[in-house]
Amino acid sequence: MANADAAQQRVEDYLREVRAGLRGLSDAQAAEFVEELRSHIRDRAGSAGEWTEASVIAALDKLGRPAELAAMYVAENIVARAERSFSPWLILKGLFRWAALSSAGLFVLIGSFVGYALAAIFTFCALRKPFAPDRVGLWRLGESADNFSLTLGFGNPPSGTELLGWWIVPLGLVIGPGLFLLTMRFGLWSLRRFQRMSPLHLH
Amino acid sequence: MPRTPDPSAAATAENWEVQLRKGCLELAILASLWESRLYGLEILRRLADGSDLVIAEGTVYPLLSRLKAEGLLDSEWVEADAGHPRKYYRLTSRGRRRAVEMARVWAEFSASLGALVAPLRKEGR
Repeated sequence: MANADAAQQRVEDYLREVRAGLRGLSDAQAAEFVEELRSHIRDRAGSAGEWTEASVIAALDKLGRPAELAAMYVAENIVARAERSFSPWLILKGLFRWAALSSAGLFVLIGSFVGYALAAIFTFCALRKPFAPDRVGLWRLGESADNFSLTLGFGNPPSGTELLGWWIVPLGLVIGPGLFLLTMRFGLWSLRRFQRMSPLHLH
Repeated sequence: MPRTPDPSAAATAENWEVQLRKGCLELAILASLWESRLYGLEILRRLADGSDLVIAEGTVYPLLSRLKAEGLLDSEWVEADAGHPRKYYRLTSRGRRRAVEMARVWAEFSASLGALVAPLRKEGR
């Protein structure tokens, strides 16, 4: 019986490690995945009572490393959820994992962040312009040809030439949401690519 | 997409094989569910019998959850004789359409590639 207890303990340890890696998912979804794995282990190693430590070890070994398994589960689900929700937060969260693993991931994360930020600024400027016409715009700073720098935004107008005037409203309303959609598609496309290159596959 | 340089050709070939298997796994799972609902371990057994997709067993579960999230599969928990519940998956009508489409693409692809690599296989013998 001591053997069965030790086996049970191994299963619980394994599942706890999987559970720890499932942050970001709802409790219900995480619990369901853990139960599915438990059911798998029972089938593989023999039901509790008849399983031995050796049979449990073999089953867990075939299943894969718990942290990798959890990471893969989260990655697959974040893409699916992000595709439905349009949420920049989910996409950035998904990319964040890959940014830690590769330079390509880091590049995509930074690019997506800048894309979303610009989309937000353009949209905000377009919406704010009617209420504060003098304080919202696109300014060119510096007068000489070799000193060219642009400022887009709101607040105290800088000393420079305002370029767009009221055009910022239609332009902002087109560029802002357009950039948002482009950034989202780019982020999802990259996530799917990273997923296909995911290392967890052969054991 | 920058790739880490790979010193040995064998490792490159192995990596290619991994990608190939992984790419086919989705179709293999959909195909295994064509006739009846199955739970995870049954799907794994089908894959082990009917194809050469040797995988870390855990890999199918994240994939199954994504296919479900995409609306290609449905799942339900069934209380089994074994004394513990099992999570069964079955194809939705969308999943059936997708499987048929993927099978068509696969058949065309493997036929044309098969013809292309036929001379290489004679060489290797």
